[in-house]
Amino acid sequence: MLQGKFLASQKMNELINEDTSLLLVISRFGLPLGFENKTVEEICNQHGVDTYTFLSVVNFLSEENFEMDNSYEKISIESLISFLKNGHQYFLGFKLPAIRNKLLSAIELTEPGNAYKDIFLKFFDDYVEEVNSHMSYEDEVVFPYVLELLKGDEGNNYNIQVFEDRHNQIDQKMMDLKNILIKYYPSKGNSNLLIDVLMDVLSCSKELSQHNKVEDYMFIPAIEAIENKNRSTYAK
Amino acid sequence: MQSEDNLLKVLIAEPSAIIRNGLSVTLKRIPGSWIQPVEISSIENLEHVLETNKPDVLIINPNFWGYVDMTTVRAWSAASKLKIIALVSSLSSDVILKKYDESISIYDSPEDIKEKIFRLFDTSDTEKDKSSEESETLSSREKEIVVLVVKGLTNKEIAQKLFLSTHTIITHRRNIARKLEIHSTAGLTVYAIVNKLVGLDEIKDNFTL
Repeated sequence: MLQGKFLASQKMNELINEDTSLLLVISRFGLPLGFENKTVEEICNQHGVDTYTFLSVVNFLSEENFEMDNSYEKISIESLISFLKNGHQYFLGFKLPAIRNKLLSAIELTEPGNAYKDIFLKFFDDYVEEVNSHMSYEDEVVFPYVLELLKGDEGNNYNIQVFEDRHNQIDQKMMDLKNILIKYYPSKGNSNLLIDVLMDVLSCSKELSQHNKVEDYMFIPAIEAIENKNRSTYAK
Repeated sequence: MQSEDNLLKVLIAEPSAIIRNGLSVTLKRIPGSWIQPVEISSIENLEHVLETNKPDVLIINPNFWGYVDMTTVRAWSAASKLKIIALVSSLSSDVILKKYDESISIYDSPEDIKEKIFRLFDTSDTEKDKSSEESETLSSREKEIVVLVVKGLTNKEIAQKLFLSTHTIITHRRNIARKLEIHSTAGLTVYAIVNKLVGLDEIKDNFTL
């Protein structure tokens, strides 16, 4: 990564003040709150997170215009994988269930007959199932493959291209839900709860697309670089 | 990625950070389109980024080419119909610019740039105007199709039922998705129920609650 906006010598709390959405990135790297006045580097070292990788992700996600280059070699794949895995845990174990609960309460409140409750829940649960299978595939197939690859194991027939090809977009249905709520939901009375769900849906779909962006523009290219390097070593 | 009808991936290859970032911001501000710019500052990355990012448009400074030239890039991206636009910041010969699909000057207004890019694609202004003149609400035929889709019929079955070609049904479905901004069948189902196009009991067979 090129020199970005945020530096290792910067205080962690300053970084959050500049871009609050980075809180999610920080927690996904497993860095707990309570930063005092410590710098990014100190916090990362304290928790065994690779500073370079952390800053690469942070700068990548906070830059409006992002630039690509091919300096992937310095990225710690282990740290990146743990970031991605924590992300999966966050979506499936926390964010999506929280949205489901809110959606349920909002419908119960705005639709006294509850006529649409089941249909919305069915839609949502199907979607979560889709996200689940997408993410489990990464957890169970892609990441173990990559960890083997890092050990220099070439016995596997898999390669990251397979993943790249099947890495489909999972935020389409989330956008559908957003549009249904904004454009077509026959809401009556107080809509605070409904607006609250909508805000969650919007932030969640943004988070999902950021998560995918890290996979597409950092993770996959980094793995491709390793595969190519291994291949040329073996060719010699 | 192309499922989003108006998403256009633009790769900007330009050594000057100021011009590159400026063009990115200008492109993002173009209303009515979703342009996703990616920037590269060195030509060595071009092949890799073309491969991973699969852009629809490459906007490149004509002085930028190094060991890679346009013929090579055309060959790499033959399948993806990549459009190549010259980003002109100094006097350039027409002979050189002719090889490009289009050229943008750094003094072009955002409107000029918009028109030039859209002219290269189906999303031309004329078509945009036409579609906005069309009603954005569903026609009765489209509603009919939504109901059949929601009931679980395939495009082929719908075509047979309505005595239309499958191709026509696909066109209708594309228009429905565009008008409603709902792209999944599951989403259409929720839409149809909430708007009372179908009753819950009508779709029970393929919709187990």
